[in-house]
Amino acid sequence: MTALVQLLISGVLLGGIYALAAFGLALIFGVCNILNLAHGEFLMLGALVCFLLSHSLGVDPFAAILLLMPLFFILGVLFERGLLRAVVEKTGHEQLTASVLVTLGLSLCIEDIARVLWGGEEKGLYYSLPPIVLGQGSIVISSVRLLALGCIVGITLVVHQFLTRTYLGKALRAVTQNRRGALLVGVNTAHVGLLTCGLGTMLAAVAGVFYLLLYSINPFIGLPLTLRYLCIIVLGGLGSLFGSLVGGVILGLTEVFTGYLLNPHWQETVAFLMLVVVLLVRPQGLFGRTQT
Amino acid sequence: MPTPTAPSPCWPRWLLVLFVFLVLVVLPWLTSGYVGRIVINACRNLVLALSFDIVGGYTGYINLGHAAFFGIGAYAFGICVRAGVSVLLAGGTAVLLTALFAALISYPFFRLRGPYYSLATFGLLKLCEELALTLSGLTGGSGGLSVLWPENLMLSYFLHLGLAVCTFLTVWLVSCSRFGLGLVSVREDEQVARAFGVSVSWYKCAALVVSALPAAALGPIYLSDRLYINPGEMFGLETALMPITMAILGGSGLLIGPVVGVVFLSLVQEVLWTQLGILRLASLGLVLALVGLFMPGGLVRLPPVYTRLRRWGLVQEG
Amino acid sequence: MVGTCTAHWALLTRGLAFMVGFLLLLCGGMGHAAEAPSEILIGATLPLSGRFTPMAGTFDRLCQSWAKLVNGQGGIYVKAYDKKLPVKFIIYDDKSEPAESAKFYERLVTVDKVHLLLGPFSSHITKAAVTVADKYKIPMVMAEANDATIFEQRYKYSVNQVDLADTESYGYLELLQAEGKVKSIAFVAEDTLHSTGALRGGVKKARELGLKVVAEEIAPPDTKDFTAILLKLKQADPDVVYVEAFPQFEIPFMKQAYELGLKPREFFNGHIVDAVLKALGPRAEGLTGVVYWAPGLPYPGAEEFAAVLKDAGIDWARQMESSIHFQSFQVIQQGIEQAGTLDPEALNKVFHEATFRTLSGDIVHNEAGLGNTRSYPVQVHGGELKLIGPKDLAVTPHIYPSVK
Repeated sequence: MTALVQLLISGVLLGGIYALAAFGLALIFGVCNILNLAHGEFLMLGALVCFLLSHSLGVDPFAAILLLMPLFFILGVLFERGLLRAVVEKTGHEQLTASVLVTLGLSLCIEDIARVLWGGEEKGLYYSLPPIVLGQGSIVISSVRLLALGCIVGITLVVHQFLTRTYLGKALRAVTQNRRGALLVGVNTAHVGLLTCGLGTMLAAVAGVFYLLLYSINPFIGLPLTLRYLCIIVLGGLGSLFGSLVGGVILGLTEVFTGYLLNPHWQETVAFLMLVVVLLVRPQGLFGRTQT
Repeated sequence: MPTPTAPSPCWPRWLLVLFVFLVLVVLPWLTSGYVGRIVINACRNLVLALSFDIVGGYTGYINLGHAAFFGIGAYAFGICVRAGVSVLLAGGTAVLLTALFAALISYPFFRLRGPYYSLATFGLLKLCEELALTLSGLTGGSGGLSVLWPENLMLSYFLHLGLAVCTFLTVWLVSCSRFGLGLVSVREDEQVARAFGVSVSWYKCAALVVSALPAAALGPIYLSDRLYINPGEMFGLETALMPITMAILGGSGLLIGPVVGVVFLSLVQEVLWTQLGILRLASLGLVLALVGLFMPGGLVRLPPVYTRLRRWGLVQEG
Repeated sequence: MVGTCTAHWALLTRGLAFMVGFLLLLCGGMGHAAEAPSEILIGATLPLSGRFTPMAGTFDRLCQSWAKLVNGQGGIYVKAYDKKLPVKFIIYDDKSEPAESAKFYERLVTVDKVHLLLGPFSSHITKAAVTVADKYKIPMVMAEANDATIFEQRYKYSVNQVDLADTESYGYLELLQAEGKVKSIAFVAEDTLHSTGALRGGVKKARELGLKVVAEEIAPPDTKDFTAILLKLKQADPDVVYVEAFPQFEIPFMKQAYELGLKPREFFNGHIVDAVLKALGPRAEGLTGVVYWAPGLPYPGAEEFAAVLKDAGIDWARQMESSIHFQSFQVIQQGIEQAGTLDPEALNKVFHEATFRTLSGDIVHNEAGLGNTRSYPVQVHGGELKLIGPKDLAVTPHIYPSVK
């Protein structure tokens, strides 16, 4: 019984981390609608910057998040203006091929430069908060993971308010639903694109900080992570921000339970198995809209 | 683009191709094992890039999981050989099994579009990798699969070259045929194609199976050369993305595109890795990004290159 | 028509010229053998990019710094030419890919005409490279490959220095048995060639020594959430939790182990590099592990090793495989000095038959080329790794239980 509860908690917390990382990608994908293979690099860079600040200057990681957020917002904006817009403005097959080439090329550049500047070896940071212990030690909730979950819940609420109450938020949703239609009603898609990329990149960097606190990083984690998070948001349904959150949590729960009931190998397999099965049964993902 | 009729060349195109082929055939006697290995690696990438392009370029669905056919072919071959099956029979079984796999997944996967399809196929690739790792009783897991026979560079060279030529001929046949035309119509507009009587589902399935065959055949040839495979190598990111990048960079959808892409990137990589002391990967990334930004149709579709290739009859409207 | 014919002819000749030129560029011309070589050429590929870069990406600097040290003394004495010859490394980046490695080793032998080969990083890539050594009969000193399957093939022209991955745990397990306090042990490993080999050997040895193996868990290397394994381990409650993996796996595992309250008497980590110490902070105190060399071992070469590390700008605590590479350098130097010649057959004979005095003790290679360097158990005291065994070499006693 306690094992069940512990598994549930772990699963939800793991899902929270997935959701945090995938949410930014879902935003960018929803608005720009292109395959962005470089997203994981911003997660890695966020984690790296936090590591450098904490390690060399002793800055508390959560304080570092406050510093990182504006920095990566600007970086995201530059990324959109400099590279992504050129790709978004292409059409059809060309757009797909361009998105693969450009974002893959950027990923390789960032990885290599990070390796040359800061070394290719693994980097870890010590950060510990006392866990919440229930049931005389049999159920333990990690405080850092709970914070990550709290973060994503908080961000979701804020973004939800933003999307439903503000003009820019509604404009963003409009572009996600139908780019041309949004243009027709006078939405400045260029501004929306800038804002979204800034936001999405900022969220990736925040996810990176949690990644550093819970795991460890090296310059090459970007690409595999990007592909994994892309799979998560496709599972949840492209264009549905809520879907990426739920998709993340569902995946977290499934992984943890599979690992316990079967074995750790199937834990990693189940993620992609689920993706393939869900897409075959429901091509638009769990919460996506049917494609035209 | 206005299309002036290409002047007919003064000797047939195929003579040019034959000439290149003959040079490659006598190469082992003229140079060292190093050059042989470069050609082998290039042939491997060419087989994967060309076969990818049948679906990726002509049909317009970017199959990021194309390397799965390669990996499954190699593993099937290895498992059969270790079980005592004769080499030829094992090879045939591997190719057949992979083709069957391609046929099975085609209907469900082709219901997806664009980035959904790409990510689903990538998910399939990762699934294969994890399964190869998990089902270690069958595949050897992380320990990998080995075959025990002596290395033979010459044989490997000609097998790779032979397969590359066969793949090239296959894609050429597809591009010249009505089948190929049907595929292109699917890429341009699926609904209109269906309205014109193209049985879209069947065409897409056939395209996937045809693209799986060369990749599946490469599996046994690769294992015979390397004598050892493991999940990370066969289903990993480098094996998956490099041939696709080469095909797209060269010019997806044209026969000569992947060839140009493979040759170009192989040269660039060889030069970068032997001459540059630092930031090689970043330079490669820069090349990719620049091509993506300014020549997304691929090198072959650059106006000066394109017109010259048309004049030499190496490109036909496709 | 005529214009087109000229265009075609131009295409053919240009294409031909280009291909020939390119091939010449790559081959760099076929050199002819001189009577006495002016330097000793050692060829290698290293993972300067790709997934093994974190472990060995800086070792090209290590090679160059060692060459600098040796050349500073005039080089290596070769009796056949009655003089000291300088050492030169020719190193290519294999991108952590076996196909690239095999290709460059072909180049090293046929184009660059090296006298000796140094192996690539990891058993996985070495499997592709070692066939080249046998084919051209050029000896290869395999620095970083210790998987059993390589030695089953009985290659004749290669030697390695470190004993099989299976033996990695022996030093530590024997220490536990001698002390007699540990009764049960649980093994966790990442599913990669090296780690599964070490787990396999460790489980077998533990049972032989009379320890109870309560769990054997293998998880894929990119696993990040270990709740399932940790719950099982909590139920089994072992005295020692033995984690055989690389930092990418170890660090998340250890962090989550503390979070979920797994409390054995001792934790063991297979690769305690600097990153692990930093990531675990004060909790790393008391962590046990193994090394193939540690400061304080009384064997020859420690000062040269320190000098080479300093010149290369490499920190041993961050990249511990550097000591294994240095052992290979020592084997190469002593091999050439003992053989007295650069003739491949003579060198190969010496490599297989002589005894080499290295940083981590004496090495003898068996006929399959397997060396016999074994690991030394260490424990983290005051944030540093200290030798805790074997008895005559221990710098400080083993503190057990070590988990507070």
